[in-house]
Amino acid sequence: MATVTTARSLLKKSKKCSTGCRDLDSFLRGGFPCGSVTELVGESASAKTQLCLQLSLAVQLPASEGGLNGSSLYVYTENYFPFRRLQEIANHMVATRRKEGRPFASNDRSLRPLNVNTLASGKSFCPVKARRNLNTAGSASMVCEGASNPCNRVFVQGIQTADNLLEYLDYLYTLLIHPFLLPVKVIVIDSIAALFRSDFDNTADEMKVRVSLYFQVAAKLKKYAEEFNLAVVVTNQVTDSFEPEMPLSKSLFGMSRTQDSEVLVTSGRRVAPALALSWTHCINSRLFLSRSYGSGDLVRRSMRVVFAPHLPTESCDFEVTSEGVRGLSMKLSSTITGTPPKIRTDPSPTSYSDHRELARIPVTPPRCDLHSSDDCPSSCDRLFEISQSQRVVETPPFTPTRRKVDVIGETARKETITLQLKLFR
Amino acid sequence: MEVVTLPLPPSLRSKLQAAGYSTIDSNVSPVELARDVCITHEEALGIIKLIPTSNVSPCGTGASSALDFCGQNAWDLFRHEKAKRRIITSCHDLDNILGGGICTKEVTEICGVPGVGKTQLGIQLAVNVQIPAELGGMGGHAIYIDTEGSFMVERAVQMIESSVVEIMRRAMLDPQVDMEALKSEVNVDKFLSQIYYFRIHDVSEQVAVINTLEKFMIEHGQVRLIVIDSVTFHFRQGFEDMALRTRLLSSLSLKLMALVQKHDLAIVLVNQVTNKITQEGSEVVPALGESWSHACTNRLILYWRDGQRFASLFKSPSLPTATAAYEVSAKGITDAFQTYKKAKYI
Repeated sequence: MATVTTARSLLKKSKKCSTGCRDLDSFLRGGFPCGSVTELVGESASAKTQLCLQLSLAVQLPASEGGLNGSSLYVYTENYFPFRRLQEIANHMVATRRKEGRPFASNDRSLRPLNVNTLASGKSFCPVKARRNLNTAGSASMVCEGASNPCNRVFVQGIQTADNLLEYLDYLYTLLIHPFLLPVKVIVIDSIAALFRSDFDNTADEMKVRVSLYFQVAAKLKKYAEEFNLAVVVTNQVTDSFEPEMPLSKSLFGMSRTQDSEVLVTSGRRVAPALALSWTHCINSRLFLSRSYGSGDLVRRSMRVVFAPHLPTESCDFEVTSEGVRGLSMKLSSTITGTPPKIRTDPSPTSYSDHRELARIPVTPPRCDLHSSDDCPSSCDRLFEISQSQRVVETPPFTPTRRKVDVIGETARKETITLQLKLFR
Repeated sequence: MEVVTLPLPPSLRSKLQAAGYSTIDSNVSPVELARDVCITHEEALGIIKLIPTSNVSPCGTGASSALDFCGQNAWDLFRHEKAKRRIITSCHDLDNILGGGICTKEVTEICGVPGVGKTQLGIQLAVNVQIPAELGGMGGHAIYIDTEGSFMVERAVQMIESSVVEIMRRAMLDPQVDMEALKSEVNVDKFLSQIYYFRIHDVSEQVAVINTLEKFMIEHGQVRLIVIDSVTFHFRQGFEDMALRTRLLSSLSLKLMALVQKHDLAIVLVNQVTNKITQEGSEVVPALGESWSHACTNRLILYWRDGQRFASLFKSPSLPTATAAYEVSAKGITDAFQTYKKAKYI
């Protein structure tokens, strides 16, 4: 039930969750805010998922390092969950911390080791109807074993339809009020767009249902965000923006859907966030991740604040390395009104970002372990050439095996039945 | 009290007159009255309740209930109108088109696309209402009803900090202001503790909170501003029955109107916008439909044009339709930059 507080007492409560990178944290004034919903929007391969993965690990850091000493919940809807990438980022984080003598937050605690079996047996958490196979990412290949693996505190759930999401969010409440490991402090939904873009038609009725669902999902997320003081991050896709500017007479005072000063440009094309204006009302802040190509394989990535109640519209460049997402603090451009990110068409090879790219090329070329001996396979040299030509070391390939969409199966089943009825009447 | 002046049903009035009552006193006992007039005890109690306890006659100088019953004349209303106080928005052009700021005793709605500055304006007003009276402010407290979770306290702190600096600068110029006393009144801590914050999670909570505002106002008489950010959010989910929604909304707006009439305060409602499908395509309109647009006294529409934020007074009973440019900076709401400095009157 709603209670009254003063803004002064809110000050103590308001927290931020680190992104896992100091430069990005300072750009976001401490990270993603608790108690509100932040949207990451960008085209495919704009590092939305990368940032989410890193966030779900960074939340486990102690408060002294900007974390919230909690665990995270990762709801994925698009691809198969990138376990390997999560593990890789986790390993890097653990390794850097070991080197500096700082343990991961969870190491200090005596934790019950969690695995899928304990969860499945822990029926008290799950109402019988809504019981789902809740996995932790730790069930993938483990490098640091047992409870100390940070992946163990990333709860993963796949959701395929919007209705399922709503149902799952109801069920989630029981998980949140019985924190059996560290309390959940970050909920990631990657991506929200996939759920809504697939299942609905463009007719007026369907739109109505869709908008109502947006608000229901958002209300639940916001409720949890406030009640448990956790950060909610959702990702959104983009669509190409063809729409010509509306004639002023027709729309109310020429109110345009987007802030027309701030046309979102990624890979040299104009885009608009997917999901309609209504969804935009459901989120508190929107961050736009863009990428643009220079010559060759060089990618310039940048994060920009489209709107946020606590941030000015600035942008900040970042890069994706094997360690995760790293902000480039020198590129921090601070403007109040904001100018669209300029696409560098012809980057000089000595530019800043090139240095960063070049620095990532391994100094010693990757050769197989047996290279010096005679057992070296003949393909080794070929691999070496390939690795030399591939200048940018990006995310490790994960197999995007798309899950079978249940809906199609459902309709197929229905159609089968109707067909059978027709034939065998 | 003359029997004829009491708002009674004719049957009761004639019974009273038949029993010989031409005037009636407030300290007559109900039992006696019921026996004399041959009516029930309840009816007698009802009659006595109608009699004003004060001895001032309706024709006297004081404002009696009988005169109130007949309504006020326009001259009185005009005097009240002039006495209305206004909360500044911190943007001069915007203040100008609003006739000096957001008016007390009125409901003002702010609508606009996401990110245009609705919440920013809401927070700014919650800060500005606290400017002390000796410096031309209202020295009141604010209630912030947050349904969307967009109230960022760190942003409020930023705005308060720059507001405190501005207040101090103005106070320096005024020799009559007691600086020491002002310093204890005007600081970030104090300002923050004078913003009462409600966080709402669903429609029923929203209705409940608005119902309890009346009581809250009695306990916190200093409140001069209520911001509801946004009134829309919970009304856009899961409403199968649109008639129910309309009913809820209109009862809500009536309650707010009553509140604003009774207490010397301003209510600011934040509304979202939606796409309205028309035959020629779609256009952007304020949400909650046509019936809601009658719920507010003033409607301020915020929008972007050519990379500049504009506010347009779309509906107002006393002011002309006008547009002003404004800007959101680190300090809060400010004047627009040079090129857009002039307010454009349509």
